[in-house]
Amino acid sequence: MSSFGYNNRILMVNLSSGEIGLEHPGDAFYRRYVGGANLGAYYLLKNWKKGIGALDPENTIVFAASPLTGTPVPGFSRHSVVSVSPLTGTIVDSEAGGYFGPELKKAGYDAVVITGKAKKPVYLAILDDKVELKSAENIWGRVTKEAEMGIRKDLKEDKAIVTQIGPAGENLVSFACIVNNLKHFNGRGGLGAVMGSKNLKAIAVRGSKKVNVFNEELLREKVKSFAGKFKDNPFNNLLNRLGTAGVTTLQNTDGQLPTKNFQTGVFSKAENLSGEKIHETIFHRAEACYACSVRCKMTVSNETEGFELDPAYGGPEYEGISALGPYTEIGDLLTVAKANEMCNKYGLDAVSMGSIAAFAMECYEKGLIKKEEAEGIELVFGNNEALIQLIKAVKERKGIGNLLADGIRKAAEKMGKEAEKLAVHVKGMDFAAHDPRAKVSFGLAYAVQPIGPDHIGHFGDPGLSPDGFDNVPDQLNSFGFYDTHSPDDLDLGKAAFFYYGQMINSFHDVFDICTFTSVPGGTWELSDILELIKAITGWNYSAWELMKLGERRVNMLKVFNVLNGIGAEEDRLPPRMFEPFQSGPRKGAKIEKEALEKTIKAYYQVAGWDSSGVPGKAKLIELGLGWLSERLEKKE
Amino acid sequence: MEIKVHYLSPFMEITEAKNEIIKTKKELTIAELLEQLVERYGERFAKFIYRYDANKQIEGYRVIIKKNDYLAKKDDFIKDGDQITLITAIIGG
Ligand code: SF4
Repeated sequence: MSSFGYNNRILMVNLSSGEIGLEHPGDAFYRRYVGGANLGAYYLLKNWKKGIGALDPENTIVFAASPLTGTPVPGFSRHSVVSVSPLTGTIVDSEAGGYFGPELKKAGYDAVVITGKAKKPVYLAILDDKVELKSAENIWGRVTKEAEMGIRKDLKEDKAIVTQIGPAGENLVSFACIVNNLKHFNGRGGLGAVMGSKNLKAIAVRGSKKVNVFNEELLREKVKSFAGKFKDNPFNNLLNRLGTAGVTTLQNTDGQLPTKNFQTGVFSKAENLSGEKIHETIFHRAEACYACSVRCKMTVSNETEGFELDPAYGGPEYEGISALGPYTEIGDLLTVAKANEMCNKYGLDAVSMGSIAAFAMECYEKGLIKKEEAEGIELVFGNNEALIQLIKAVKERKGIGNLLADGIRKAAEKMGKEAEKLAVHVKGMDFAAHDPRAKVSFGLAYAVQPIGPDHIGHFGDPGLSPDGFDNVPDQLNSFGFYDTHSPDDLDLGKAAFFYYGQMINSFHDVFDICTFTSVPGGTWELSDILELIKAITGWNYSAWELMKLGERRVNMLKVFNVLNGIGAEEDRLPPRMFEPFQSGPRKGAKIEKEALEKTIKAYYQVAGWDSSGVPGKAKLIELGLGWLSERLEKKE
Repeated sequence: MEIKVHYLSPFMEITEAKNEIIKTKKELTIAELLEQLVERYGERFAKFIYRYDANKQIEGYRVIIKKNDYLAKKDDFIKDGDQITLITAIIGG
């Protein structure tokens, strides 16, 4: 069979028995599920049985790329990791850029499906056709850079791409992440703890093949066109010059930079943490994910004693800066950069770490965490030292760190009702740095998305229709968008607007495309994406098929949650979102509870789900997911 | 009448200034001010302000405008001494 874009080879690894095998799912499978998030969700659902929890040996974790991954196209560098989340109990698909996905494809595989638990720490080595489990006892407990060096030395492969967990994942911290090349992250949902529970320290991969594409010439032409135009796209231009940190000032000026545990949207010290300030002070150099000319990855270095920064760990990005900075009211750049580096070294999701620190600070301020419980950490907002101490405590699960390491929801539940009011989360996952009160469609998104408050599960409304600047970009008409909706409205029209936007971002997660580079805000337009899919796979794709692909993903995720007992009662927002912003240009803005509830019901209808948010049989059959409808009927 | 205009990235890259004073004799709306700025700074600047359709016709805006402490609409009038900030509309979380 000559397949283009994909290898038709999926690596199956059972850590309990040590067995390693291959599956060849065939062309029809790839056309329906494609790769990335859908391929991962398919294998997880296939293997999962009721009662299997995130950290149980029977849980499955899938590392999957897409047919586009590893071709030399800007933005086509990502891969997905899919499993049950220890933070939320939902299914989670988390995408990362970098180099792991492309290298996996070049080694001749589309995905790795891992089950079981190794008796002792191991890592999986994939060197083209040679695949083996190797001891990781020497590197267990090591920070990520040391572990990566140890693995490369062990394999005698300087260029092996290592995706791994740090000590936080080994210690089963519920928001431990997975790190590739020390600076690219499958950050959200605590999938690092799933690897830790399996005694799986890392996967190292080296491939020597090339991704087989349908039309090399067209592909080359398209890549050349990107180079000629991405600097004229304001968002890609901004990313190219300042990285995602360039967004910090914009968010603050616009009154939507979450500050002091989401009490306000403006931070008086935001300038200190801006992309411009990073460039003037600790900037080392701009780097990129595989084949991407946007080069938005800004690495940092510094030699001040106590604040040494190693560029190997990359640099702080907008989400991490916000969570470790404004959320905690820390405006010292070196502290924020150091805290970010510690998260990367220990394998902690910087967003969750900043969120839990901000939550703990507000609890401390309100007397819900007593001084003795904090064990010497002066947990007040704006205290640089407290943040650094807390990161260590969480990573080691020591003292107050042990409570917080279980994630914001569990920690708040243990602390009681008053603390629960301060915990900004949905389904157990804390918020990335986009406040639904400023982008109300994010309110709906955060409430209903199966994996929790995914900030790139949808594009925000202000970007499409800045106040008073009503317009829908031409290319979105092809997806069925015709009308704008005021960024402030939360109504039935917004439900449909969000649904379509969700499907657009969803197909990006299946094809593992970086949304920064793509429709509707990036350089690649819809017509480019369709041509690129054709050039790589030979498939005659359409906007319709892309939307159905996105819908297939959302429905698979949703079915998992329903089977696992996570229903409509968890489609909600935390109390803080119904409180008005205390200051800034958006002072007074809040989410109206009744409007949100009505819009959630409307969303279910648009999605073809019942009033409890359960996907209907007809919808699942339409999407070619009849097998999941049967499982819903049998409730197993 | 004097209007102070603030430029954030990526506008700043073209204007080579963080802010400037625009002097005008007649009252302007936000949309009219943007037209004047596009005239002054040229095609590249225009690409950051407007969204174009496949026929290279302006189909909408890609900028958010803050007037003093509040977000402005395109038909809002600007008064003497107002401070206007140009912010790129970020799409995609
Ligand atoms: S835009 Fe940035 S994050 Fe996206 S692929 Fe390029 S370098 Fe990576």
